[in-house]
Amino acid sequence: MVAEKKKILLVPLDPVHDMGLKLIRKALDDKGHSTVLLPPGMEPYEVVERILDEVEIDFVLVSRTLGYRVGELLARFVDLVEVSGLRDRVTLVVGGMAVRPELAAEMGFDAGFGPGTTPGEVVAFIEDRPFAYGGRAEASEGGKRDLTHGFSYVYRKKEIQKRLAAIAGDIMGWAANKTSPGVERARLRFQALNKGEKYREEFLEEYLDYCDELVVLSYKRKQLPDQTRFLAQDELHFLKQYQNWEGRSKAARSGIRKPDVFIQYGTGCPLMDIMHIKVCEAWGADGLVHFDPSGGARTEGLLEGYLAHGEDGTLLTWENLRLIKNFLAPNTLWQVRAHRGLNTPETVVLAGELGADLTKINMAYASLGAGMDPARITIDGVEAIRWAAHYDLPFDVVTNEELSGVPAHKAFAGMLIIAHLALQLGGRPILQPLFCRSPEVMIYGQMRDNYIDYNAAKILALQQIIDAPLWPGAPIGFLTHTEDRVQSSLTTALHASLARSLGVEAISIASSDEAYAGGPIAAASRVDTLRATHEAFRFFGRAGIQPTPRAREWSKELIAGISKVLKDVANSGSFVQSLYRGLLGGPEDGAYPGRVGRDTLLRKEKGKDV
Amino acid sequence: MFKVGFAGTAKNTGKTTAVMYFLRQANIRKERVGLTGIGYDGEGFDHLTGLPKPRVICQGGCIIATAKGCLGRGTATYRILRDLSLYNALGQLYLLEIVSPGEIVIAGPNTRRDLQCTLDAFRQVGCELVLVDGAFGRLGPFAEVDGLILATGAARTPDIDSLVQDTRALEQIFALPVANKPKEIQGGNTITLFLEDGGVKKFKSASLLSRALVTKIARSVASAAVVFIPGAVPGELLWQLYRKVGKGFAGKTMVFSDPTKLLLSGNYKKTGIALEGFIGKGGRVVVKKRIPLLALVINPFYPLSTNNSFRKAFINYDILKQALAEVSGVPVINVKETRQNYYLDASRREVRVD
Repeated sequence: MVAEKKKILLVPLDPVHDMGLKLIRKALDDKGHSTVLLPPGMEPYEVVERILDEVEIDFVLVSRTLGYRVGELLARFVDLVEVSGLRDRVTLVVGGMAVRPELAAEMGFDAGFGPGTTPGEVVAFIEDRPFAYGGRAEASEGGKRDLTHGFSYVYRKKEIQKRLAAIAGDIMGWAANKTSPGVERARLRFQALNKGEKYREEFLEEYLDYCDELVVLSYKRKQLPDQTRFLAQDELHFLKQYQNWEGRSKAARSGIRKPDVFIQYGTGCPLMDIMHIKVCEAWGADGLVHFDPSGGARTEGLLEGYLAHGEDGTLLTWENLRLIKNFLAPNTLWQVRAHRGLNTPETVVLAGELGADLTKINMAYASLGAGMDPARITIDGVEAIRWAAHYDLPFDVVTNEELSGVPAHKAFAGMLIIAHLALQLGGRPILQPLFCRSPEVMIYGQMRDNYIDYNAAKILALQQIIDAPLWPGAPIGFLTHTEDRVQSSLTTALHASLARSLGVEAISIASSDEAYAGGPIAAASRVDTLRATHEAFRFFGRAGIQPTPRAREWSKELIAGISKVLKDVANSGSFVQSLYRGLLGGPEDGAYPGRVGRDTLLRKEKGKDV
Repeated sequence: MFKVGFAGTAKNTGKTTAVMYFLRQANIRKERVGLTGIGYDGEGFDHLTGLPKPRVICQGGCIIATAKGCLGRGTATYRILRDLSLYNALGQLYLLEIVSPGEIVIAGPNTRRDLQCTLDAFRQVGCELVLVDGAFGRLGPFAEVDGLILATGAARTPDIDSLVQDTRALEQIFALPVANKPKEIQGGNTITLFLEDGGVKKFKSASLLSRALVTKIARSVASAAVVFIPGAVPGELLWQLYRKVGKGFAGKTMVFSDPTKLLLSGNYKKTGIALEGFIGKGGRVVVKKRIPLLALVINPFYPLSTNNSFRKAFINYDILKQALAEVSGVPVINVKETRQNYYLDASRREVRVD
């Protein structure tokens, strides 16, 4: 539908500044509207005279740099328009630094546009089309992005595909007759969520049989673990004021849609998480990762209720997740990670039922970097992938075992195995290479000269192996941060720009105090890295970062290394045994197979499969 | 229904604190009270200066008109009575009834016409008293109210002598008599001269906008019996008109719409001098609608600008109160300090003491 053409008077009610109005005027002219731009420095009464002189002005757009007493001046201008009998004829709009919709309302204007406003937003307002303040309109066009869209998952290295097929076949065969308490709880949870509250007693009777004592006590006696408490009603009530808070984004994508920028939250308190989430959304985060506590991952069973605790990571309960979900902006991507604990399949069920957009699964990392018994997590991981496929929930395959010292080619081999298994089970995996200064490069010196070449080599290697989405993390630039927030923000922004230059789909970034906070991180430090990242995106735009030829050489070495590891795993005949034996990362790398959940596998009974 | 506007001679003069005071008094008297504002009030800090601002706290049963963008920003619970089909910069306006007491954020109608519609809605739900909070020095929409409470103080100027002169001028402006002769109640939407020969000379503007316009009007005053200015009358330009016409104004009448039109430019002293001059030369000055000044509320606080930020500062309250009380015919109240119970009497349409 063609917008009705409007007549707009642009008024720099300011001694000198009119640049913003000139940009807006061009955008309006381009759309065929009729504009008149007044010179700067006119008095309010002169502007009113012009409104009287011009024929049928529809909008008056006033720009002004604000300071004390300027509010009064603008308010008097509005009054002058009113008592001159013109107020019902024209729509009054104010724009400028420090202008907010609240201030516009206070001064009597019909709308206010502050810093970060694009000319397109003003045009949308004039044309009475939906828009959002301060940049989110651009970012939100088309809604949430599917990070896996357009990828064929076709292998470009057939030899690697062949080896992966053999290993995946082995895993499926090995897992066929096994189950675990985690698998059974996921099944019961799914049934309970789909049968409703009446089923609760029946559910708990069976569910608690598969739970640790600590969880049983919380259900039966409302006795919570140490440092854990229920949120009070007044705390939950306090949140109401944020229900409609939209915030303003400083996102500066300049027309380039990717990569989506994710942050991870998990302060231990869902209320504080929501505050952080709203801040991050306001400063342009596209996605959020729910960061759960490590202790919870080592406990059989999930607690229930609105719970806070005094540790890193926010407890995974149905109520906590639902509460957080209710506060997310419509276009925010939400990942609930399920990758590394005894509750992996059940977490995917919660994520799927609550409408999360993504989850996270990797059995190799969970074994080598997160303390899980390889056999148990393989069974749980296979089931989690099935649930993810059931809910059509894409998931990243994280490789943070690199942080334990596992070299990239081994971590990538593990990642590719899980991704291939996911494809066999109908899932949509996203590859998540570590994009940071890992122990491997500290030892072997791949980043002695620069941080670009080896990170680029990792991406190039994966791109040469398979046509799959890439989401470097987690977070990017890890181990390049210091206590200095400026330095940490800059290094994050530079890693983000490199990732963008390499064409990845998404990135996860840390706050500028994430590595050194010594407790909950500060919301302001989240703004640091989001702002720095978006500013770097703005700086580089479509211009890329050029790695040296060394990146290509290292990518070839990585592919050869991955291929060799996969060959060894395939020849061993057992993925699980390969994990125990260290083929995907072992003691010589600083990685040890975990013990959480050892000897807990059960024989599968008929009729209990997904 | 008694409609009372709370205007300020400047920002931060204490309008909202005064509104809260009279709202509490109305609650004590168990009146069905309505509350709205032509600006933005109720959040804990000022969007321009960053300084703390008073919260707006409402009791159950209070009727509120505010914008969609303010809903959920306070702690009071409410039910929506109706959608007013009006808009401001924060979205659609709603009429609410407070269910459980608490804080609320108010951004109501921002034009005279919208305020009129909103006041009609308050009337329809049975409000006896409606308080309309102002914003900055804005007065345009207040042509719709029955009386004004004016907040003044150090935020306008920390100079007490200057505040006294302002107050004296305000008294003069609000004391202007109502037009009652047939020739005075004629009018239109723009500046009009009703000539002694029965002719009419109309100008394009409703407001006294410029010196050039003043010069044009001054040239025609000699043949006019009545000069009607329906819009804004800035003190400086009114004074210019007086200077140009001088003795020529003897026997002629100057008509304004209401007192608020003389306050818009903020230069009350010049307005006062000009009015004294016209009357002194034998002219008559009237308003078509009288909007009584009900009380002055005074505030010794002002935001002191220092190195791109603001901090709180105060002038001597006792001296200020005494000085203003001497020149004012209405109650002068510091709502934070007073021990007397001032309230708005809806039937008598005035501020009274319990």
